[in-house]
Amino acid sequence: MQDHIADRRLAKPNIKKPSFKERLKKDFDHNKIKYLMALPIIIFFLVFHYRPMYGLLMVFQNFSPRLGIDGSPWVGLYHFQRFFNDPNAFRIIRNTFNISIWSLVFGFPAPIILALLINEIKNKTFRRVVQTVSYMPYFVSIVVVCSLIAFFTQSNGLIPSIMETFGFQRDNLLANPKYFVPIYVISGIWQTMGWDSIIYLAALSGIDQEQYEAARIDGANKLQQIRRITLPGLKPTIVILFILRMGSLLSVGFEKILLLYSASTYSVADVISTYVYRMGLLNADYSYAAAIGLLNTLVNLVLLLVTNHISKKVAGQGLF
Amino acid sequence: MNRVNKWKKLACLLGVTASSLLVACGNNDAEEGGKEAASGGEDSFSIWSTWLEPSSTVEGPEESPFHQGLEEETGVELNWQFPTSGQDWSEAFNLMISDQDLPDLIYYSWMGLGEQHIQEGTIRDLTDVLEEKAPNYWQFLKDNPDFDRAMKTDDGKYYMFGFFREEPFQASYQGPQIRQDWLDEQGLPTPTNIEELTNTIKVFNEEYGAQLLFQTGWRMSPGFAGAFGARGSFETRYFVDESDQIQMAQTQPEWIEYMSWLNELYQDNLIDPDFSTIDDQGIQTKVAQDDAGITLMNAGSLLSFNKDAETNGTCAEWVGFGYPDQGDGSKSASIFSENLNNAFGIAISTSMPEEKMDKALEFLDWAYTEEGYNYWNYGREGESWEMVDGQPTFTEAITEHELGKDEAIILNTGNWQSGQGVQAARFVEQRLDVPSYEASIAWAEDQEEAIAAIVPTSISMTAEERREAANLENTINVYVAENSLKFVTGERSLDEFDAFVQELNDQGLDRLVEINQAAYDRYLQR
Repeated sequence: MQDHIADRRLAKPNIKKPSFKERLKKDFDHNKIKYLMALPIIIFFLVFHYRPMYGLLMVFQNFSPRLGIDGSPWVGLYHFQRFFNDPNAFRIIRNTFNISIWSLVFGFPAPIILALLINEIKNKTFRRVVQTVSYMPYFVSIVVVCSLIAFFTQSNGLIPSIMETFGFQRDNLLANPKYFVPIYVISGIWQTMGWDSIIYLAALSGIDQEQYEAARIDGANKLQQIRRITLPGLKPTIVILFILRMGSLLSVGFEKILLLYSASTYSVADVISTYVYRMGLLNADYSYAAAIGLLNTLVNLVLLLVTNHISKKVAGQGLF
Repeated sequence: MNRVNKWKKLACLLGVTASSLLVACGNNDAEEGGKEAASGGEDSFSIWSTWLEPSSTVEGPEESPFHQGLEEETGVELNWQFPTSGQDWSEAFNLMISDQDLPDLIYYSWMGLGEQHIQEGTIRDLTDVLEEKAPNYWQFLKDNPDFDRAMKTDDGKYYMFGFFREEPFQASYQGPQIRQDWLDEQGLPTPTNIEELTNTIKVFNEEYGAQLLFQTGWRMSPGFAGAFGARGSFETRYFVDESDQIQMAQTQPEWIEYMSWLNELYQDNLIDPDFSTIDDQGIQTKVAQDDAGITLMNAGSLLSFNKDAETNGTCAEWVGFGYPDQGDGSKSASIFSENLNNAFGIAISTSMPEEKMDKALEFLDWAYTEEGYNYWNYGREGESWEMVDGQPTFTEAITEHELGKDEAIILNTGNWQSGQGVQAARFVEQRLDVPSYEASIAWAEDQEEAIAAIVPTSISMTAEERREAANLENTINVYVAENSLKFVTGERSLDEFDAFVQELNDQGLDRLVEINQAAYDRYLQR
């Protein structure tokens, strides 16, 4: 291979590699229609995704809506310093990681397991009912879900009543810092498990049925079939979803926490997004909110790239 | 052939898309043109407003009797613009001012923002024109020095036409509430001090299984603190002491006494265990289930509590009661009340053409004349109100309106919540239902000292101070909220109060109080 390329170089030493411009022009001549079709998308991205990034300049300013980006005073890294000088900065970063890691540990495998279980159901009607029922909660507004949670977990609610029969002290669960993360994670799983499993079910239907047949003839039992055929078949989907999930690790759902937390659970529930909401939006301090948001995004990007890299090394596949 | 068809279809599609885009642009042009034409007229103003939206039962200001009447009475034409319903006001406001071309008049919560927006060129400095061009407003401010001070920036600049209230009860809309029917059944008097209150809570618990119910947010601020000489509950609260010094309520020894009272109640299971997470809706549910006999809510909820009771067939009768006195007979040290002046008002934007200024000032000044006062509060004389024994009184056109009294008031008058000029006490008295009115009186009557201790909302910080304060406040507010709960639930020993204050100081409380003090001193010197 190496030699072959070397030969070609030797054979045509005088021909200059075409410049980018020339190549683009040639490509354009060949694929005019495709370029035309791509144009709206490119414009869309430029206008709605790249142009607004100009607004990110406000993280280095004391932004005032009246003066705009052009007129607001520049302050350098002041807003980043403000954030790291805040005594609560460490706590909210820790809480953010804590909540998202527990969500990941329990929330990520849940739809996979559900998909495997649904896949094993042979009765079609039953299967459809299970699938529909399990993804229904996804469509319930988060505000409704949170008031349901509050209702079920308050001192005279359903769950404390059940816990009481098992010898626990009847208590307002939402006010107890010990229970906040479990409530958040479990309700999250309840709400999104069914929906998230759809993509795995689609991947499952793509697995060649003959493999199972062959395995059965070889005497593989159900578990062995899952381990040797189903899971490897799901691997590409799992890896991609996992990498994407890592890329939004720090973006903990903000509405849900805002609706569920209270002073008694700040110590475990106050996260970056709620902090940004209080500091940036309630005080209309847009620069500060944007600075923390940018920081958040950068960490997410790093996590995404690192996970992608590890995944390529270990599993031999990645996003890009 | 097929290929050509495809192209034709594509061309058609593109054409449709393009033309719809063009149409959209055309619409914009038309609108802008309309706006210009409107603001071109000498007596016509565009006004952006957070309040004063016409009743939802009519299509828009064109059909609202109040808005129409306002134009007729003052001889100006108003083009109303309101934030999209549901949109956050501060967000809508910031979006609106980012445009170079502003509406002529802007109704917003300007308090504390005046100086910044004069400097940034959003609104006009009205200092030099008020006395001459808005004599009624000027006279009103001179007659009421407190209002005058509130309407100025620290440098003495006037920037808005404010909204004011006449009596303290108009600004005090939430406080303690109790089951009158239970009191009657047990032969108990309305509690007037902590001893009686504690006893009532105990009796209600023994007889009805009810507990003391409250939220930890602003509804409970200051709550029953005043009975201990304290000024706040769970939410950080500042007050002005006798020597004009700003202090934080939660660092006072009286406060920890108050917390210790709550702690005892909590240990005895007399406080609802859900208090730290409950919201208004939750309170209403618990009240409807007879789980509470004493709570702290807004005046309006009395009506809904009693309505719920009627629907459920229970005989609950909720009434407001005055803040309990301190043991030695002196009045409660703190009550919930807003300032008599409101944070909202109308400012004139820099886009207002110079030649229209006189007319605009005349229009804004009108609300402070007797005629304007009556119109904003009661609507048109002879239609919606008439003089009865020397008192403006709503006619049957309002009280017996087919859509109900409240809707009729919104349709015909302007000062329901926040309007312009002065909200008449007589108007509020006629507007409120009986329990709400009586409760507001009970909460605010003869409470001058408690009201004097409230930090005025019109003190203003510089942008730099505001940023520094925001960071400190965030830390300290969270810390206070967390620890006051711990004191009540017993998770933290009450003996640690000194350590608690020390930790607050370590987090920069001194500096925060200093910033507030500086702002307050500047306010006093206006």
